[in-house]
Amino acid sequence: MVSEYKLVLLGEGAVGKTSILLQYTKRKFESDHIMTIQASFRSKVLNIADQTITLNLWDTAGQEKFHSLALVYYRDANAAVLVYDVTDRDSFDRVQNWVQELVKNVDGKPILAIAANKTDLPKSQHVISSEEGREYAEKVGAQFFETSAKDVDTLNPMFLHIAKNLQQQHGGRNSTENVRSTRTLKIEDDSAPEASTGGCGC
Amino acid sequence: MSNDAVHDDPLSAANDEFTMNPFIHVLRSPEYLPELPKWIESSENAAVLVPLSSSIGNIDYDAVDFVKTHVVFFNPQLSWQFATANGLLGEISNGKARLRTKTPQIVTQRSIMALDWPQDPPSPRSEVAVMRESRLVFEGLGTISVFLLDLPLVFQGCSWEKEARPTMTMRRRQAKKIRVDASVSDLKDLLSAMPAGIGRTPLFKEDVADDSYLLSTEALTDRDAFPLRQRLVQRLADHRAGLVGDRVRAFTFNLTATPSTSRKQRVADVKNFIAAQLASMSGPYFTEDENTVALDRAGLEAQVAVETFSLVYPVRGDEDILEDRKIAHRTLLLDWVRPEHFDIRCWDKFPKALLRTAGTHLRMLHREHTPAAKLSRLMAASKAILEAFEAADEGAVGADAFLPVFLMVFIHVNPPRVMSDISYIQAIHDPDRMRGEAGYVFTHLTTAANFVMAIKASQLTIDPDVFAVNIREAGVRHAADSGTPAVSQWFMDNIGLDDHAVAIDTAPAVLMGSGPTRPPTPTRVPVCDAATQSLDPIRQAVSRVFGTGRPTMKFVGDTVDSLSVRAAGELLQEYQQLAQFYRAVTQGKW
Repeated sequence: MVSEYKLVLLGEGAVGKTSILLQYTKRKFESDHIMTIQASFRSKVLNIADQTITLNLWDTAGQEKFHSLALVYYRDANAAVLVYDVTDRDSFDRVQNWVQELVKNVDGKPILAIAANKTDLPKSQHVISSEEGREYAEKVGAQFFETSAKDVDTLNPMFLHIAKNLQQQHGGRNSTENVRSTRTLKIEDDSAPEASTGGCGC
Repeated sequence: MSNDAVHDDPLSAANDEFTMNPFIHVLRSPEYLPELPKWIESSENAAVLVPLSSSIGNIDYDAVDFVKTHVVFFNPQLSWQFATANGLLGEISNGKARLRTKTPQIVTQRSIMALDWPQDPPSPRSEVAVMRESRLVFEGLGTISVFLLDLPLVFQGCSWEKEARPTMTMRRRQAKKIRVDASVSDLKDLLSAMPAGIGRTPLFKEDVADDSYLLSTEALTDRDAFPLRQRLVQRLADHRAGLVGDRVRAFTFNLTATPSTSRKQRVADVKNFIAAQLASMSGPYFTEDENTVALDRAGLEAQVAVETFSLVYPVRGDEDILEDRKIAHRTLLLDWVRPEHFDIRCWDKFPKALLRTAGTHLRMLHREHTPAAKLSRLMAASKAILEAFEAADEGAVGADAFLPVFLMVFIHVNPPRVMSDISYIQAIHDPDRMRGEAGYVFTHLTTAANFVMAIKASQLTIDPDVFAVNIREAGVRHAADSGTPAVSQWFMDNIGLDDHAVAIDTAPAVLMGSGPTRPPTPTRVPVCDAATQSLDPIRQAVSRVFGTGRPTMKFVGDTVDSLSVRAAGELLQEYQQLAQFYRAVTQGKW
């Protein structure tokens, strides 16, 4: 049985959403799989308790000017990862806005995870402490994770948590009637090579 | 083909259909198509009716339904008798040649359905039998007549009955009938010229009162959908899939037979039907692997979408059309937007060819007939933009970088019918598939539409006062073409588009002979005394409009009887010119 879910990555521009997506879905054997055309859309197939789960990861544009456009990306999401940069207070404030919007605009109860990203940067540069982030996450019913897009080991637990919760929430039943997109990209779990930063910087 | 073989040894012929009747095999098996002229030549007793509106570019020779919709044999002298490639009704005979069935078959409701017959089939004038094409036999001697009609063989509401009182609409349609008598060698020339000539023929779709009657000159599309449909058709032979096939036929038949329901209702009907069938295809009859089921589902959707397209896609008077015009106008008002307004610093590093490809795909979106084909265009547009980033050494890009470029291309190519397309895809496409990549690129499209419809100065890197001035000036600049989905001059000058994507055609390409406007298979060819049709009004209009500088219209004054098949190519070109002229006139440009 296959279950397919939509997971959207939200957060301010340059907090590392695309890098997280790329690092987490980095392929070990690319030639074995159908290539997806987007760097901002990836699928990851997980096997949890003998059940196959496909997470479709949707990247979003984080620029403030496009904020109002984000609704169409997240409104029917099964889960959302809200990403902020631990060295950027504004990005944390934006996450709080996103949470409010999600609660307001998404039907059902999407699984929420908050990713405090760029934890690989020196502690001296961090402006949001783990405690602050964790406390906020608990307040809004989200799971908190400290991540670095350079280290897939910090990403795996987050996505695994989401997948398990989705599985639990949907009672092991898929949202797509046992049909998987023919373009699904199967990805092997990988060690942690250097992630592409994504983005063109332009 | 050898007609003698039919007479001399019918049993042998039955055992070797190919030898006996290769002409039919041509129509059934695409690999024989190149041999068609040769076999026609050897048969000397066939009549071929080819609707000019069929675009060879739109015909997938691999598709099983090619023969079903695109070629009909009939006898010009006894035109009420004809045969379709799917079956034979009555017989064709002019005293010299005869096309008949070998063994009549009882007409059952099911076989009527297969032939797209009306619920109440018209009474035939002769003995009628419905036969599979393999039972067709040519006999005798005769000449070949080729009839080119610039109308689909079949029209909603058009009576094909000889005794029917022609309506005004019918008369107008008849005026466009052209008859071309051809010798065998002429026919060969014609057939070889078809792909180039017929694909460029405009189609007058007169029951649509606005300018959407006109086809562009571009070859028709939906290539992506054909393999899916073909596959489904093949699968329908499978007993497990046959049930679904029956339902599809019955559903499309019923929908076309009751066109009086509102479009909204038809959309809902189609959506519900597809959903119900998709659900049933997951049942015990479909136990194959996931990919097989997924392909079946896609094929089913494509088949139903094509069959019901013009009953479901927004038409004049629908709210979506107004929205199309509104967004086209608003997009025009943004033609001054430049890459720096989106902070796209690497625009100049993008290969123009890739941006051109992206723009062309976006521009061509509305020409597709199935949600899958439209989404495929969108995917191709996205891919071209991503490749542009790659070529500019920007590597893999996220949404932060991608979206502004997509918006930039969208704004400048001003895709026609975009709101209709969004509405259509949302209405018909399997929602489950929208969670995947197709859904992702579709979201880019809806985002772009939302962006244009509600843009504020703060969404661009620009001074708000300058923004307001630019919008105002663009309004003055485009006062005359409000609602026209024109490509921006800046994009044309700097990037360009493929020629076929530039033309402003508000109608999707018309699928010849298929789709919901296809009425039940006609029982007769349209009755029309073509020689009595006067082309004077057209000639007068051309003179009035073009004055001394009018284009060459060498056939305008001709009667149908004075035409020869050798003139077909030029004639088609003239039709195209006339169509463009007609469009210009209806758009008030003269």
